[in-house]
Amino acid sequence: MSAEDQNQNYEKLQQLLKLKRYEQPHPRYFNELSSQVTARLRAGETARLDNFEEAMTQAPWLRRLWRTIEGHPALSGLVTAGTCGLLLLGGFMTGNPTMQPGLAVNGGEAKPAPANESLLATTTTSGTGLFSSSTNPTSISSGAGSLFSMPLGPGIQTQPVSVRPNP
Amino acid sequence: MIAIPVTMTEPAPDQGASLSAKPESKTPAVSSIRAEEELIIRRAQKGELAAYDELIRRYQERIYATVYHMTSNHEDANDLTQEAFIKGYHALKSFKGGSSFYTWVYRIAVNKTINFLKQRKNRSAMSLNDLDFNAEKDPDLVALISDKTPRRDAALSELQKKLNEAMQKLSEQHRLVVTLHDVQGLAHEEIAEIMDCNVGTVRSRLFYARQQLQGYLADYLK
Repeated sequence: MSAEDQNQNYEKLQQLLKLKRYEQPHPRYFNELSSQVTARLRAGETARLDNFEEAMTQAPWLRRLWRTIEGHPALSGLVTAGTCGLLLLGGFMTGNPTMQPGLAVNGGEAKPAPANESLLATTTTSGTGLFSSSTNPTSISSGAGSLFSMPLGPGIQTQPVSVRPNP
Repeated sequence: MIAIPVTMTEPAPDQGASLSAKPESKTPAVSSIRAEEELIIRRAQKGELAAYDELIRRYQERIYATVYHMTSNHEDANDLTQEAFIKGYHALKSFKGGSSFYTWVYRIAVNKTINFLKQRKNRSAMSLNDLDFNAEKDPDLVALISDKTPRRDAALSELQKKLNEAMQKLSEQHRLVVTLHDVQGLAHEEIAEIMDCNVGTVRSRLFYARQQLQGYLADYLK
């Protein structure tokens, strides 16, 4: 297409776009618009905003940052990857504890639970272990009853313990 | 909220067949209009709804026109225009006067419209306003339709539909520059202010948008 044709097309486009200016709402529309707005304001209405729009409005720098990221796909990818990396790192750090405090119910004396047993052990005041929760079958001394039906006696005290390997 | 010290041109009101914007002139008339408006704004900032009503009446046609040309839907344009003015009222206390109130409220309406268009999942049907009867007398428009067409109004309605369909194919940013410049006659600097970009970006978007429209409307530009 020659430059002359392009210019002619451009002029015709400008003429065509003039058509938009003739698009008008019904004649009484603008008479009513302002009164509708003020009526809504008098009724105490606030503008409907979603959180994103509100954030963009309150922080113009955020709007510019968002537009910059939107306009550069590579940058968007980097930001996304960085955010995912941070989330994974945070999840890894919170889900990898070095110490796990537990509870041992003792008869007045703190006894560290053996490393190969569960942290939870219950004894009576005599120090005899009634049960130990572990993957091994539980042995309960005679007359003890089940864990959930046996009330804790007055001499039983709870103390936090830590797991240590057997010397 | 938006306080940008800039010299703005005051475009002509977008009423019917209004054409290009008038360049700014620092005449006493303009200064007195600005001073009067500042008084109205101050009254509105104190909560006087009657003053804000006056501001709405001054700019409602231009704001509505921009939103309508962006959405090609009268109902959506009506809702968005009202929402923009409601938001403007609640944000009025933060208006520092660095830019004109007209630019400030324009920006609110434009941002609201673009967010609405981006969030709209499915493209809603167009709901076009009727053409003013003066369109049939415009020589530029008459030249675009065939002389042999028995009904000029029907031909113009068809042209209106095709034009809006083509506009809707543009991205929001490109549609906006065409609306603000080619339809409403705003200057490049004003558009840059409203869109929060530089003048070069406005020019390049305008060039690209026109290229796109020429492609979509090639059959009607012969």
